[in-house]
Amino acid sequence: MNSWVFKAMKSTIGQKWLMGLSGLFMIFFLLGHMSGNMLIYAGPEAINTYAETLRKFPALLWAFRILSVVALVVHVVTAVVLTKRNRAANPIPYASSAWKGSSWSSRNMGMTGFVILLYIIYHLAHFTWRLTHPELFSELDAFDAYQMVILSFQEPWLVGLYVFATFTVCLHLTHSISSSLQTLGINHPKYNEAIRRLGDFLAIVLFLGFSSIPVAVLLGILS
Amino acid sequence: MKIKLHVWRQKNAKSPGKMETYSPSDVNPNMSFLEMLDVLNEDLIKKGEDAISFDHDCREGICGSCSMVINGRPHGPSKGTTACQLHMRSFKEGDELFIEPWRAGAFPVVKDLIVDRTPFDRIMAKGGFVSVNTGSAQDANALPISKDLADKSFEAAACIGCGACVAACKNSSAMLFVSAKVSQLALLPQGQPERMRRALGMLRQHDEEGFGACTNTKACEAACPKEISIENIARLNRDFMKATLFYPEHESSANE
Ligand code: SF4
Ligand code: FES
Repeated sequence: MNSWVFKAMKSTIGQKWLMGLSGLFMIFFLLGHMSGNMLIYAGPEAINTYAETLRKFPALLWAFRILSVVALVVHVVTAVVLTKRNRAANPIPYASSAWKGSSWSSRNMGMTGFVILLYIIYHLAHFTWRLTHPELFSELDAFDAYQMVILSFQEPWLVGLYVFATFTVCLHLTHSISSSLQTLGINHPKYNEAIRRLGDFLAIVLFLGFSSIPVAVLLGILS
Repeated sequence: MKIKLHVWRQKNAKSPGKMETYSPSDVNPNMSFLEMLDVLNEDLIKKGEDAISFDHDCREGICGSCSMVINGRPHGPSKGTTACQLHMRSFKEGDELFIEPWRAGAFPVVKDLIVDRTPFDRIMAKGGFVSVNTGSAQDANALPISKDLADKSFEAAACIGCGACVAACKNSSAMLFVSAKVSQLALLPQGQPERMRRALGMLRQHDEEGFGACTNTKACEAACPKEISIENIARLNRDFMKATLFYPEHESSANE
């Protein structure tokens, strides 16, 4: 490998750029994912046509899937490398620590990130690989995304799990957006307040959007 | 007033160290925090015990020597204040205070509250300067600069190199320090010729010293006695990447 690339990727700032860029990509992924999901409120027709249309362009779909997986892998691997480095840099804890000025979510990105990773695996096993609820899907036509969702979220514990997981994503995102922009060097008193508000707003919109679906199914609003 | 102190005592770099409890009796609220420790130390010396070692020099908030974490906060509870400028009136009768050294792998404890901060000197040696010819001073207006930029540079230059940013950081990252030292020069015309090399050199030395990576928690900004802004860290992030992507590094290092 070219030595300057290697040097940059070994530096703390280079690794933070990797975290920031892959994270921002995933935020756009989430926004797209949520907009698609919202079609469920327009009825089975709308969301199933959407699901089928996606499958009509396999090259595009796969390119996007591969990009998303790459972003996720880069994000997770870099997070592990950085966390190890940061723990080694700070070996002795304080007898009393206050961490003033820092938010809870900013200090617990590793923990919330880990929960999200577990959830992503479960979510894929649930809807993409169909491993967790094979009985629900056996009688369904493969493309009936609508029924898949309705049948799955009859179980309250699963709804609870999804709401909890999307809330964790929300906590992660309240720090992510301003943090990734700061890492990319975007910080100016003129627009910092706007970035902070936009970050919180997007985090809350994504949480409400995603979690509303299982809750609506459980309450019988969607059936 | 009466207070209770838990102070980190450690004989030398190799011994383990532990918290010890002291109850100084007649603490005057008008004493500075360091004077309170002085009085306690005189007591200890009279009793034939070892005095508490701590770094201090100017005692007026400009040298950056005094380094201690008081109740989990570097330089104590007052905003924008060094430990030497902190007064006992900031505390209440009967308060219990925990006094600890900066905690960071790159800042090993030398004795009690004194840590070794020479990593900062090595970072400075990698570019925290401008190379100019000595001799008679240049004409004052030869290099025009806007007041706004000069002010911003001056704000960054207020960094006293105390290391509280590292002590406050859960990752023991020294990004606030490095970014202040990079920014004070990056904002001035005199700093331009070496700007890219400075960002690369100082950040690499920062990493080599074993400081952590910045996760933008902003704890440094809240602890900094000079209230250095993380805006400077964003500038360092930009300069470092710009230098990585566009600066013809090998040629210049070959010339050195
Ligand atoms: S940036 Fe602030 S806390 Fe860090 S060394 Fe400089 S003055 Fe101290
Ligand atoms: S002793 Fe100089 S800043 Fe505190």
